[in-house]
Amino acid sequence: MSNSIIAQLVKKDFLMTRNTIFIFCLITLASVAAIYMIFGHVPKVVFLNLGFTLLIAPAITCAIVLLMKTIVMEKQKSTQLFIMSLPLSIREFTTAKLLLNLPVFTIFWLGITAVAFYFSFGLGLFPYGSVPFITMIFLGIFVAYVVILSIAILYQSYGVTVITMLCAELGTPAYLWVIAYSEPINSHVYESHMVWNSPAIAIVATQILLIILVPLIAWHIQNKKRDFV
Amino acid sequence: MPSLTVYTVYMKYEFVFSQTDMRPMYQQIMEQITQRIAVGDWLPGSALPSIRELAIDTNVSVITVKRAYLELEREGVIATQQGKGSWVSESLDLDALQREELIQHLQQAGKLAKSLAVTEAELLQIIKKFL
Amino acid sequence: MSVPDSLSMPLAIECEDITKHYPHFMLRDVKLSFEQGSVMGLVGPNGAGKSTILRIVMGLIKPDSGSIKVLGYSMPNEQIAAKRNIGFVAEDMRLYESETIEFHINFIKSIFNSWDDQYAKKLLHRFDLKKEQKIKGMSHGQRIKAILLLALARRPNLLVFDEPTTGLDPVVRKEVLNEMMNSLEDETHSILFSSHNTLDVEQISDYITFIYDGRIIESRNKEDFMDGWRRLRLTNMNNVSLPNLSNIKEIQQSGRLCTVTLNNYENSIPEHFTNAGLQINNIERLTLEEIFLGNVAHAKGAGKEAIV
Repeated sequence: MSNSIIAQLVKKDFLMTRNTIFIFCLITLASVAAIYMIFGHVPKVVFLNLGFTLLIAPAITCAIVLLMKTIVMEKQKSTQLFIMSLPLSIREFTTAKLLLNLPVFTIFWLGITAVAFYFSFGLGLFPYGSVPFITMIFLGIFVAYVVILSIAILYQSYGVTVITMLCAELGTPAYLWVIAYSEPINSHVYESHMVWNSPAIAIVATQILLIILVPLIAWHIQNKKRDFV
Repeated sequence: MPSLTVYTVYMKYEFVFSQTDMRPMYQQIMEQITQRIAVGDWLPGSALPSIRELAIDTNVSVITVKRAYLELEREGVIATQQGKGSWVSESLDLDALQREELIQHLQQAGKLAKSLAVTEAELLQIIKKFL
Repeated sequence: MSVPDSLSMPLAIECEDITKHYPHFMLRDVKLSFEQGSVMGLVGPNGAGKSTILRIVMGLIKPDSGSIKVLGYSMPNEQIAAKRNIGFVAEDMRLYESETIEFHINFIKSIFNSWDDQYAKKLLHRFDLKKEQKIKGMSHGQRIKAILLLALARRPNLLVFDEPTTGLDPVVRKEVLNEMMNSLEDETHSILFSSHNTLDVEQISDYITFIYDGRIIESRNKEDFMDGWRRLRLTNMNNVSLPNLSNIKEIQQSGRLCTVTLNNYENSIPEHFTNAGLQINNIERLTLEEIFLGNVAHAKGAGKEAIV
């Protein structure tokens, strides 16, 4: 019974955002096409910077627009009162929001990660020694996303979400650079074969754990709230 | 703009109340029912709408319609039976009812005269003109 | 299967000693109940706690203490089951601006089995709305009508309406009131609503509850409620002091003329005044609006004044 209302909520949010999602799909495809076209025609440093930005910008923007539209705006525009008057509790409401936002982002993320790996290793931009670090970069993007998503769910406020975004956008490259220059990672990045030493495994494992736990904890905390207006 | 015809379709009994009438609503309902009986639109023995039906039709609370029906039953104008509803009393003295109406009218006239400081003599003179 | 009689049916609302604390406001000892098949109107000034009570009824706010059952369901624990049978409309509720009425109808339809398409069509016609209209282009009155339609067409057993007619023009107000009454088709349909339109409350309520400053001041059936209040117009030729009756709510003096508003009226009361040397010019009933003002004046302490 409550499963079907979650399905209806997800369907409703999807119907309202499908045009946006579609447009961002197109933009992402256009970006990938652009990356493919400039490959080999520009200096490597330029390609890496431009390519990286072109690749992740549409995906991240889509994810943020989606969570703003489906989570933050719901409260700001008082449509939440309409939804909460339906036969559901906060648990179904939160679950439905997660079930829309996470899968959409995951699909975009898988796409851009695959493209990144293809250019990095399929086309030989980097030696295999960089695999752990590139993995950390892309997992890092996912971690930043779940943090922003979880804050959006907990606070449903534009201000708090934007501040979180800024912190995540600054914080993610920051810790990644620290990792990049740390001895265990740095020493193997330019080697021709992958080295998964314990620090590398630990970092990746932590990132995956955060990706799973952070939304779960936010979901749990949100469900404990008793006052909805 | 909603058209007026839409209204008349679903206001079956067409009770009309005045907002400036300061009498309690249950009395106004009693009056509307009594008038219909007095002029012969609702005949003795004929069924009254159920309390709920009349309440919905006139947009007046069930409790008020119930009170009106109880009062009318007390006055012998209608009769009620549990499970069967209410109907206009068979043995109704239409004449007595109409007299009651006249008395109501005169009561109103008396009140008005008093507030306008019209004397008893003046009032009787005016009434004489209409007899 | 026997027809349930009104004794075995749960009450529409059953509220005991509800308390809720906020930084600048407190709701206390709220006790409210009425049986299914009736209408209860909540009246009170802004900020008195009407919206809070209605949200507690809907399970959207959990009280700090006390118990509340709606249609037999304990709130907020059984809110999912309860809300299946409740239609909620609040003045600050909004629909999705970028979507059409049809979008919302399809959404609600997919959730509720009780959706009545025929009735929905009738309501669209009566409310002068078109399915294809986008919420964005609609006036305030049209939006409220759309939200009401979505609640009414499901034919829920309980309607909980927070200021359903505020901000509506008289024509629309009458339409809304009409549909609210139409929903009371049998003893399993009830309404709990709050409104500033005291005329509406006076007309359709079976029970009236008056709230002031987080407390219930009066909660009674409408006929007794209205019967209990009177205004006495008196002449005080000899400047005597008025009898000290506990049910006097408000006194207004102007020279030798005096007006007393009182509650819990009994036929023996005029005697108290004539015995005290006052002349009674008129005894009037009050409208709900006047009772409202009388209650507020009394609560503010402006009621009993010493006669100089």
